[in-house]
Amino acid sequence: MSRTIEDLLTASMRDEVLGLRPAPDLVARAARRHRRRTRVRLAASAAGTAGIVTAVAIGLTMPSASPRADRTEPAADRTGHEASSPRTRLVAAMISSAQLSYRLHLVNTSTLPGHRMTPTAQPRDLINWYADYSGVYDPRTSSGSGVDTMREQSGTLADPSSYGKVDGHILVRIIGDRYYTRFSGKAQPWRTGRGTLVQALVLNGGRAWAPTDGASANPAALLAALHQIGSVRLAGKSGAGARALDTYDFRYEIAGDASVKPHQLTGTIVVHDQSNLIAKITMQTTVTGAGAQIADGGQTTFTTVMIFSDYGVPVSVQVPTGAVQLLRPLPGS
Amino acid sequence: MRAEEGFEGLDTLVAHRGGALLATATLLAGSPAAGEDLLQAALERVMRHWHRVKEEPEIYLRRTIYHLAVDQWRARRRRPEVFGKTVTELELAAQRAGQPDGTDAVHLRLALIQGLAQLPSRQRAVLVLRYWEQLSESEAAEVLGCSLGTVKSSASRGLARLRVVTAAWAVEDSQASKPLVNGVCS
Repeated sequence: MSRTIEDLLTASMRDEVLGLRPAPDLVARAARRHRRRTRVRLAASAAGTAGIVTAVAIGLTMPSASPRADRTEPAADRTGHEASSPRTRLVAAMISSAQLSYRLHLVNTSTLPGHRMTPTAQPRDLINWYADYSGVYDPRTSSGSGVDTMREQSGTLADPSSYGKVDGHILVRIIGDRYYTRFSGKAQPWRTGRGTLVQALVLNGGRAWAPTDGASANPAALLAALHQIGSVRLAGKSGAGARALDTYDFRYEIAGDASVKPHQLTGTIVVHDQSNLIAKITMQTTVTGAGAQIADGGQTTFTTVMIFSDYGVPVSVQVPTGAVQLLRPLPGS
Repeated sequence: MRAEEGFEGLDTLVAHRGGALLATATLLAGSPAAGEDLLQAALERVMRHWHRVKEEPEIYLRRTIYHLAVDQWRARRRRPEVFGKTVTELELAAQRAGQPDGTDAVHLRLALIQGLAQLPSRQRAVLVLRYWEQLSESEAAEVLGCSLGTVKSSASRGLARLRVVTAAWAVEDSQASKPLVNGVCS
């Protein structure tokens, strides 16, 4: 009987894998590696990225601690403006920006350099997109809405050009002290929990994958965190007139603990010179595991980029009907 | 097998379907050890997205195995050594083709498996989907997230290369029904 190459290939494959059984502890091994990875993220949240998340939250929840800013008039007297320290100006810009509604584009990623997908795989940088959020927010009413674009982790798909490929969306609404999220897809319900926009983004709908601490909506705590920024300097000026921008660098020392070594958070804040409103915040920190419980003692770099625009944009958000209450309270809620 | 906290049903899935999943991973990865690595990596991925995939974990797990395999191979380009055999051994096996020692069919199957392992990643994944999983072309395209045309062309090219690898043996070309070179293979 003659046989086609397709038949032979099928038979050959069947012979090759005949009797294969996975190791009895395969699921347990996978779970251990999964938990170690999660611990890195959670540990980083406790120490490494608290500053990042705090700063994001500052932009969203800063209380009305200064005279109301108006986008149509200069924020401060020019002479006093120049005379104030970079730190003071930065705080003033934070406060001014938090008096107005705005559009926000926030991208939060982590990078594991030289990560091995499997024990025998070639090492490569592995990038996680925790959030790629675009939306509007009004700090005065603590309400906002937007879309978080979920992206595939890099290095996992067939096509290298798909790094960061869109893998769905999460609709996000913030109303008061509650957030509402809904995954894309048929018959997905709205889910709701108590928390901030930051929590809605990084908690991925209720599961703690990413930084959690520092996202408290307690304005006093957030303001205190801002004042703790260690080093602020005016890095440069660019543009002229209404397009003039001031760029500040800051550095923030973060103490180590049993999980992670001491490290720094560095960042850049770009401020519109005339209006004293924040245009862009970029922050980065690299966390190194300090304990054996941290996977491979490896490093994870967290990066956050926030672009603020369209100050004064109208914001109207409705409570979704039929939202499902998340069963477990969220960390920091 | 102990149930892993938070991943209810996953250990049961692996207990019942682990053999088939490992077989797929082995064919994709090139050896049982690499296959188990691949399956473990896919399980970790499933755990990471458990809240989204727990309703249909096997579908997601299987899809992830393919995606991981294709991606890893793309990074490695071609694997010079597969299933513990080298290219030279493969050539020697081909030279033994037709020897009347009763091992001809064994050598042919070995050559096919080794040839499969040396195919570009997408071609290999398509052939495993089509001739191991017995999926249709459209089903294979859905698993890989590519077009039907890509599946067709990958399968065609992959089989063409396997025909070259196994040219020393008698294999009927199902596409063109060419005459056999060395007689009929049983």
